[in-house]
Amino acid sequence: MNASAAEREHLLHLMHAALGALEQGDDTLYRSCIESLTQWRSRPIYAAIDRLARELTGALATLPIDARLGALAGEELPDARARLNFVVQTTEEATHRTLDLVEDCRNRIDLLRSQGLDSALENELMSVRSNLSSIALAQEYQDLTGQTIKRVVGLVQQVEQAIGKISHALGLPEQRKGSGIEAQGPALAGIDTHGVSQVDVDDLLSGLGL
Amino acid sequence: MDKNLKILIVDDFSTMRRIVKNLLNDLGFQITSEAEDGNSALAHLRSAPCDLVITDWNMPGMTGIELLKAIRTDPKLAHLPVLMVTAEAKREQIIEAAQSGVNGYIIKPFTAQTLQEKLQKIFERMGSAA
Repeated sequence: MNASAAEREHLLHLMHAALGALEQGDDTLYRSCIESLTQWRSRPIYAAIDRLARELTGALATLPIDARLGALAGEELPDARARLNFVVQTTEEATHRTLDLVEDCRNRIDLLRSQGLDSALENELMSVRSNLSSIALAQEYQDLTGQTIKRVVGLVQQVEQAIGKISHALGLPEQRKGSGIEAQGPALAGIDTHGVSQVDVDDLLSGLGL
Repeated sequence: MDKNLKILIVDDFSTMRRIVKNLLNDLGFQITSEAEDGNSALAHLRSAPCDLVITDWNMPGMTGIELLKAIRTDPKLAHLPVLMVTAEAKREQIIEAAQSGVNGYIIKPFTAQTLQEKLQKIFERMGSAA
């Protein structure tokens, strides 16, 4: 970095003054000159910080930060998490149902075999039993997809918290989304208010003369 | 294989515990118990003795690798064979498990045959050590 002529002048003056003070044993003046020199030396750092701050302010102004951010952190991301948890829970329940039925079928096969069967039938039953074991093992997908989804849920939560902090710092209002006719996917208990039962649908349609 | 061995199945997913239990029953092992993470597994092992632990790695609370290390540092449990059944498949993780004293390592998804082979191998080593 090159000092301007005026700065060089100022610097020379300070150094001469410091040298003079040292030679004359004026300790107070000497210290004061050195202090000024140190301050002069750290000026570029302050200038750089000041420039950074101005650039950051400019960058923030160009970001598409608006009320949408408040809606993301306030509603849409928690909603996305709840839906992902719904997927984990639903597949888990379905998997247990499948395993229940597989176990029931296996017990029935064992009961049949205990009654004494001819070998052809016995072989067929053994094949069915083996298929049932494969069906049970195929359900391990639920553990794998569940782990993956739980990880994404954790990530979404972190993003949500980060956006929430930014949104809060910027004083953005939380926004509720509209209740239009956009496709919503399955209605989830405790999350959605738009869900109705088949009975409700039938009542509604019959009320409309259908 | 001694079919009267007591086997503890540790996994946070109840479906996976059931699947492993089903497979073990198919192989003739009827005496199984379950735990949903390392902490409850340790508590179980300290109150009711087991002959083999089959554990997942990624669990909330105490993970499978922490459970393995806890077993190896507990004088009463140190010799218990531990089979890891997990989706964690990084080389570093498998090395870590091996260095922590795991007796077998199965990557999910797995087949019934893989489980049988790894169990066989563990029991052979147990037999030759006894």
